[in-house]
Amino acid sequence: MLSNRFQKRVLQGLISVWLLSSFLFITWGLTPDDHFFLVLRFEKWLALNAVGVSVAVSTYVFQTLTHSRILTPSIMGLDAIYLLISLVIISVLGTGSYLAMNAIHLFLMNSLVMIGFALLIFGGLILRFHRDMNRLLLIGIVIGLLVQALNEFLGRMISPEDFVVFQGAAFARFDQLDRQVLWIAVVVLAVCLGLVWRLHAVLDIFRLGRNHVINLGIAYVPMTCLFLMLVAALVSVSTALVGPILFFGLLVVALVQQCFPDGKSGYHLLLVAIVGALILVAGQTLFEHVLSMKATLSVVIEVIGGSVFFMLLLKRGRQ
Amino acid sequence: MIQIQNVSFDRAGKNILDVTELTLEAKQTIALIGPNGAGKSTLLSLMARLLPLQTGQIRYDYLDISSTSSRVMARKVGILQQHSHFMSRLTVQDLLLYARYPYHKGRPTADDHKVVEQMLAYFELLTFRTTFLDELSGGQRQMALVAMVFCQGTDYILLDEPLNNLDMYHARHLMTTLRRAIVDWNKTIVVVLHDINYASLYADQIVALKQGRIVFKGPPDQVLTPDSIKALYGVEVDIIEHQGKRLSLHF
Repeated sequence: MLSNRFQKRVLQGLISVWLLSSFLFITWGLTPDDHFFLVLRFEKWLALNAVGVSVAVSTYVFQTLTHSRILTPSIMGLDAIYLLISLVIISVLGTGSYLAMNAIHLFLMNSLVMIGFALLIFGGLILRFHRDMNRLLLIGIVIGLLVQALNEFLGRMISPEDFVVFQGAAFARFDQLDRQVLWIAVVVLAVCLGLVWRLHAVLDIFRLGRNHVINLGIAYVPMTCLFLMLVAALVSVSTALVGPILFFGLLVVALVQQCFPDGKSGYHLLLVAIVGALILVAGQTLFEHVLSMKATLSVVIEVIGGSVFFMLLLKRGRQ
Repeated sequence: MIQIQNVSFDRAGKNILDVTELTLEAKQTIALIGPNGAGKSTLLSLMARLLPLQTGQIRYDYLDISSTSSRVMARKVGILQQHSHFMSRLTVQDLLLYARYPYHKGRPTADDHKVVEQMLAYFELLTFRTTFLDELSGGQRQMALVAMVFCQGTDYILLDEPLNNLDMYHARHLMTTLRRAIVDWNKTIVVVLHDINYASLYADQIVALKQGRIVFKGPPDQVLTPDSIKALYGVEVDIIEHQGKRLSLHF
């Protein structure tokens, strides 16, 4: 068995690496006098951490609720909804209005629509089909496909210039963040994460399965709804902040569970949070400063995360 | 005392359980027997609140399961189910401590640890305390799960086919341990059993279900007759007396 001391060491090690890469990310090539750039970098760093932690933690919670290791909340069509919102605005109001839209309004609208949609889908499906995970997954994917088809249809209707703007929104981006939006998002995410942390003992029981949850005196339906709301808020707000991230959460959670299968939820939550933040911060440092690439980190993460997803599927298939 | 009144359960438009009246005395071992699909597990799931009641009432010492809070019920009745698939990789000790959740709500106290120690010792699991469940044999694992239910500290314990997949030694060991534990810890146990002989040897009361209805109920030495078993399972058997207990020869 892994001793507590070993678990602590791992956590300390990860935190040190995270601190180091954070320091590098913010200060690389800058002197203390470059106030303006330092603040800009700090804000970007904040966004990276908030999104990394939120997406990883929400995936962990979602997998616990659905008792499955291959599900991720974003697979259920949330990202498609996000794109649909952008597309609808672009095609109805035009690119000019889309780009000129008040960032806070856009952010709030995106968040609320996605939270509403997520609650509808997750809540309806999990509470009704809690025994039939395959059906849940299938329905989620079908809805995702439906919205995607709608997106493609709308994408064909708009002009090529509009489409370029739309494509910019299709991958997560960590630059050009609106300051106010960032702070609103960070506060909302921090509150949700705090709540999840407070409930980590309940998550432990949820990992035993639904029947144990009921047997051990936790009100199953209200507690599931609370967790779903937190997941929906975490995913929606992160997506509204930077754009869709599909496989990142899955990547982080799979990594942590592969390396530390016998931790409790509290420890797992800390691990996925720190690994999530670390991958984004370290990756962005590497991309921006070392490789001086303009390419978005999220594209690379999606490729790696997607491959991990396939590996998990294949592994499950063979068992 | 467990009182079950007018409990019926439909699934997909088909009635699979209909119990008008069943009262089970406390401090006893009650065996639920019956052919496959008789509604035994459904009844047990309803009693454990795992399935919502569609009609009727179930009360434990006048605590009605539909109007009593989940937290209070979790200290009154606990269930051991046939198969548990856990997402976490757990040690025996962790598992037992989780069963104290209704008391500690995630922050185990010295009392909770004491109960866990007691049960580890009682169910002979001390040497396995830091062993992961997936490293245990089937018999040891089942014993750990039984210890888990006892850790929950409820007056009533429901066991759904605890002898499934256990060999002769482990099945008997589990039943003798259970019988001892019922006396030592003052429990009332309702257990689904497939082997009538285990029911006859270890139960104080037998409740027989068929097609969702109670066929007979009573102490084993009164209700186990060739006729009653024929009516229940549709199998001709010989009943013999052995050391004051009735045994059925159904091979």
